[in-house]
Amino acid sequence: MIVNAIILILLLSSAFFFAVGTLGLLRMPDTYTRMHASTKCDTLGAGLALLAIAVYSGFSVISIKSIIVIAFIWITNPTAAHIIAKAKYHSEKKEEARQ
Amino acid sequence: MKNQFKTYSYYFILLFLFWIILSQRFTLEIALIGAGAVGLIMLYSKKLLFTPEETTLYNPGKILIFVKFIFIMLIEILKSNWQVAKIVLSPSLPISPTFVKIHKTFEKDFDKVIFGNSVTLTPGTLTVDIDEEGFLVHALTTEAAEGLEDSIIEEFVRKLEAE
Repeated sequence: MIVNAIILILLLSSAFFFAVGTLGLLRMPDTYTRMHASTKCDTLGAGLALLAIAVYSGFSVISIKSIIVIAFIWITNPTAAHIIAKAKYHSEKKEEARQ
Repeated sequence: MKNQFKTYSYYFILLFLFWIILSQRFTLEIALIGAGAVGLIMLYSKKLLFTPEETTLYNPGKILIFVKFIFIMLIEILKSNWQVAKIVLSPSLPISPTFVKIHKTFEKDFDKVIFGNSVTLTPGTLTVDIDEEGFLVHALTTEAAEGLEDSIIEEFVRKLEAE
């Protein structure tokens, strides 16, 4: 009962953060600010959904696996955001140099 | 030679534990296959492994600091998400995007990566570029940019870096 409530809260907040991330992607004016919204909210959204799986399966190999997946997402997501921002920054610089 | 052995044993334990978690049970057969696979992987990706010159995480004392850092980062990530959610959901969209240059640099590449990624995960900041002078960070609001000057992340990465 309590476990179900925890899972429900985790999944609902995960959905909330994903929705906010998508809304941010649509509302923000340029690439960098869009990156802010999508990286942060997607990290926590995916993390909470996987944490819900971990709670649901209790203390087992599956929960350890889902926590490992969280760790990998939290390492790769900021790295990907950094690469996109860097590509944008350097292409802007090149464009300026050409003019 | 001794350092190399330390590196290899560290990776062997790490990858072998990962193998056991993936295979879900522990028998002699699985342990042997795992040991062989881990050996082959380490042979193949020899150049990718971190040497003790590149990271300080081989020191057991540093791992404790690192675990503490992870917990602090979790709280920071929650705060950052809440802030971004508030900004996105407010009708006026109160953003003031700026670029700031942070004149801080770390000796080891590993520490640079940790600092850059942590900055990206904390409230309203995004690492854009890294060079010899420091980090170029994009901030969503000017307050976020000011908060970077003496942050808890830097304190921890310095602690990790210290020998």
